[in-house]
Amino acid sequence: MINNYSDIELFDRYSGNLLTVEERAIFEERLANDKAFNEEFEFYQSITLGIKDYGNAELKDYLKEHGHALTSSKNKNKTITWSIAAAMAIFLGVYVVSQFYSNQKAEQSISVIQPEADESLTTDTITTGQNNENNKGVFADGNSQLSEVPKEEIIEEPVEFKNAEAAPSTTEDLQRAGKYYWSFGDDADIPVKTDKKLSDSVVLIVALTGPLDSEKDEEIALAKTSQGATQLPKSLNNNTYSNNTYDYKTTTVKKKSILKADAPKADDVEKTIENKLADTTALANTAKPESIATQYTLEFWESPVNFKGYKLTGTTVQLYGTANKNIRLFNVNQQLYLRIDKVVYVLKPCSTGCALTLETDPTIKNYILQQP
Amino acid sequence: MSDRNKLNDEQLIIAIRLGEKDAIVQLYRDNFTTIRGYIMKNGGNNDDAEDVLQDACIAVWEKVKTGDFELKARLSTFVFAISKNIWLKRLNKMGRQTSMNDINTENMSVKDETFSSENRQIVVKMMDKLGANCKDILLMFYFEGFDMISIAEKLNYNNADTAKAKKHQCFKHLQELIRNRYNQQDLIG
Repeated sequence: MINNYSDIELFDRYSGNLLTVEERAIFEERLANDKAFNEEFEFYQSITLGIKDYGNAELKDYLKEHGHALTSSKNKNKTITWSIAAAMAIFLGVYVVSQFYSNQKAEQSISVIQPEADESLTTDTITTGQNNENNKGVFADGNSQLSEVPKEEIIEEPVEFKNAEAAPSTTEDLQRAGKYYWSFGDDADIPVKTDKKLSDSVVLIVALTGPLDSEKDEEIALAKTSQGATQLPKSLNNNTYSNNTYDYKTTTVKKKSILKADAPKADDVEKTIENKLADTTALANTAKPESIATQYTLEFWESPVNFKGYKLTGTTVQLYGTANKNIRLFNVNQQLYLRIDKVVYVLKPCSTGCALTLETDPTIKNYILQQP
Repeated sequence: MSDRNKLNDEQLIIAIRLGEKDAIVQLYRDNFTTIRGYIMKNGGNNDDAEDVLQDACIAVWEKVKTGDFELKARLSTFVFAISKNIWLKRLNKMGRQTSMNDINTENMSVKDETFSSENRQIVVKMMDKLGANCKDILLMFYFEGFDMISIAEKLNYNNADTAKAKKHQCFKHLQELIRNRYNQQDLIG
């Protein structure tokens, strides 16, 4: 049986105690008597021990790698912990410093609105931290609070400040500046920029409906040009038109002005207009005869978002994004029109801001354009 | 290996028998603090402790792998005893014998060095010349003590006979490598 094994297998079995007692006896006898067999077995033993050494070396390397990582993991964790702590400390430090400087910036920002009228108020007297009592910015004297200003308090001319330190002291001045006013309430530290009013004026509304009643209107007379177009009376023209520009401060019309679109005889277009106006007059006069006022306040505004359009509330027309002052208002059949240079727009009541809409009816458009 | 997955002594022995290297890593980790304290109190340093414990763990590995290992005490006690024995021998070699003769190292001898380390180093060098498959099958059989059925399963051989033939082929190849490089008489002499 033992002869069926190769030397290597026989050595394996002998080393592994897998031989029977008889086989083992035979094997050991051969070892003792067969020198070559004995040398071969010793060579085998050297190799197997070398293989074990190789395995031990690999296992030791594995232990060095993984065992070292595990034993040093505590130190690694400590390093990570300290790194996190250091990072948090740095972050905290940066946060504190940034908060310190941001507070300084806040005070500097508020100093912009420091009043120049009241010399007793200085930059140092305005603070933020102590003004939270009423959620309003309060000057050190406790009297002046910076709050939103009613629109009615807006006065005519914008105020220009020489420098940032020369700021308005009152809410009126703030609004007069037309730029910023501050609230320290829910929108703390957020400057609120409002619409800026550029100028306003009382403007005559010229009604083009109905017959000309010269007897009721002595100041405003309708003059017919040779071309048949209507004109404002000289008195009004002298006061209100100068180089085709309104003098918005002096124009005031107290009486109802009714200008008739008196069509020229030779002009078929004018006949058409007259017919059209005549058709609509009755309806307009009966439906809402007083819906169009005779006097409007025309205001020029500037929007912080560059809104272009208008607002029409009551007898006030607010124009946004329009610098041109060659403007007239017309009432044609109880519809208000705005003419800017050679462009005619339809104005309808609008309190939230509407875009200027071109008049598309060529009859009305041409007729308005013929007006002075 | 997290603490949650830590094996107890019996599980560790089974894992070692199955050739799970993570088991020996746990053994090393579990005993490092104790062994380092002992080594450092007795003239050694941290590197000595690591090296001694590594050798002790390998000794446990080999002992368990023989199949006749019987755990009569806690495994940590066994590791500590082997580590002491290893350290004493090293101290003896370095002439730094200390008064630790009272250490009971009965039945905890380290490696029987019948053959010179030089000869074994020759085999180690030649092992690197082998291909991965041959190296694996020789290590599994001679170092880890797996039978041919297990080797065939682990190395995806068709059956134990195939694995056996492969092992035989590899061993012969290693012998040839050594013979071609060294004199067999030098190796066994």
